[in-house]
Amino acid sequence: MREVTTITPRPMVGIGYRAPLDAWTRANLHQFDVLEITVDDCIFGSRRRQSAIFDLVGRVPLTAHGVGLSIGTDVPIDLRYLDKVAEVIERLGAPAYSEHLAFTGVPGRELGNLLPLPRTEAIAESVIAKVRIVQARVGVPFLLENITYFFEWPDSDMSDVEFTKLICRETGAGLLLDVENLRLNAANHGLDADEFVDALPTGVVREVHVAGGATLIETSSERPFVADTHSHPVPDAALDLLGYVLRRHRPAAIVLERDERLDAVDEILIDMARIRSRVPSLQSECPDADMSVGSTG
Amino acid sequence: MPTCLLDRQVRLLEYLTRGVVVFGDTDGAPLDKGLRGIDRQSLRLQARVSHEKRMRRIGAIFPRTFGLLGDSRDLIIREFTDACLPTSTGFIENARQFRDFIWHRRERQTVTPPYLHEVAACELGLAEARAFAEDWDRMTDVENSQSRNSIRRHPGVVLLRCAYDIRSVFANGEADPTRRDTRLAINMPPGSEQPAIFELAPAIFDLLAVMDDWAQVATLDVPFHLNDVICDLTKHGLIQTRLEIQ
Repeated sequence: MREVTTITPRPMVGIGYRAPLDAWTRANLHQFDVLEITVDDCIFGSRRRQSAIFDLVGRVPLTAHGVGLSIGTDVPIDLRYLDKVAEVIERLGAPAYSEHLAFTGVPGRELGNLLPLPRTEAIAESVIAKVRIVQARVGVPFLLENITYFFEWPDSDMSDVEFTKLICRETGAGLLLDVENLRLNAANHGLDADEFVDALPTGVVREVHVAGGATLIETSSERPFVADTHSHPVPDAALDLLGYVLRRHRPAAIVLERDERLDAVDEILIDMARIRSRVPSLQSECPDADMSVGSTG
Repeated sequence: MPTCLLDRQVRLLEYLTRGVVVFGDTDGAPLDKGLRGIDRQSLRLQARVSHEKRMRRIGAIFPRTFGLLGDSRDLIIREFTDACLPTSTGFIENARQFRDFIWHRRERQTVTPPYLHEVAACELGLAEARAFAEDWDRMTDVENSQSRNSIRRHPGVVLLRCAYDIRSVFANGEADPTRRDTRLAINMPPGSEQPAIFELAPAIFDLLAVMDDWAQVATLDVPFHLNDVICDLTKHGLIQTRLEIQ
């Protein structure tokens, strides 16, 4: 009888690199399995910032995240930008490149916030075509990140997860699952976060974002909105959702995003430990196994 | 309903960046037909959150200017929002929009305090000097040059001529600076992590203003002994010198 032992590498746990925390990050490098680098900092950042980032190559595994692609804007994809991204990724030795399934602006106007797309098959087709361009141009797996949003387009006829799955299925792109975004969307729009996680196919969740800090925005409607701030410790509810995700999926990396109150670095290290405590042990029943080792019993 | 997604996206961004939407007067901003069916309250929320994010970027560069706005702050920010659409997420780009807005606003109406635009320009200068230093590769100091004994204004220097001596606003927060024609240079002095503001004599200010490119010292016609000040200006990082030993 053949006995199969499933061995799944533990996800790497780390933070998104932030320049104001450069010295602290270097002093605590041993605390992080991975750092997520914002590729736009390597393209548009100052020379000093670029030097600091590239100096990390070889010291700690790096993964690449972008904020400037605006893949959802209905214009041809900026190939010059994409080529720069590809160069940065090669220099970083990053195993994957992630971007948001969203748009941030149109020619001549930039909102600086992630905006949702109408969730229709036609729009999905448009995004699929662009994802294929990214994949052809960038030499590592491409991941799309779910966003949090305030409004929905009236012609959306697919659910968030159906739309995401369709694009990932047709392109082979992975998902950077932002647990906090999912949690806030559940709160703001009445979605079921667990159902979203359950609906994702095995293997699609390649990386995970977690964050803390949310602000309640009062509106004139009956229901207030919650917006993420990346400013405080990860709430227990987000960690619970992370645990739920990790029981079903096995991402390669879990990245804590922190953008505000950066002086409270102790909170970041405590969050690292709290996140690690939710990561299943080496051998698990996680169905999303990366590696199976057979032995004759 | 327009079928072109880009058309709808353009209309959406136009709507989300309009002052009447950002500041809550959605009744005054009817939805474009391409956006009909989207919940207005949600759009207003999106507009507000995006606007606040942009103003946090701008406010980080203009702490003293914002402090001086006083009771006019809401009005001026409202006017700025209507006049200057967001075209970039960059700190400096947004800050330049705000400085330009404040600078030109005084041409249309009385500004209080009267040196507000000068403080704004100085704060932008401090941010630009800091950003330049972040990008400055000292290796460019040894670029090839055929010039001998030549100097130029350091490319990271920001020059600013003011009607008030606004340095007091930066030195001790004094809100009533002296009215006096003041010529300032803002830069990051060598070895410093923070930008500095210098007052320059008129002749030196005028000289620096025209020295974008390298010029041989011997060819400069100035009403003072240039060699006497080169050392001082170099020490403060206001000029670069290229001295070639034969």
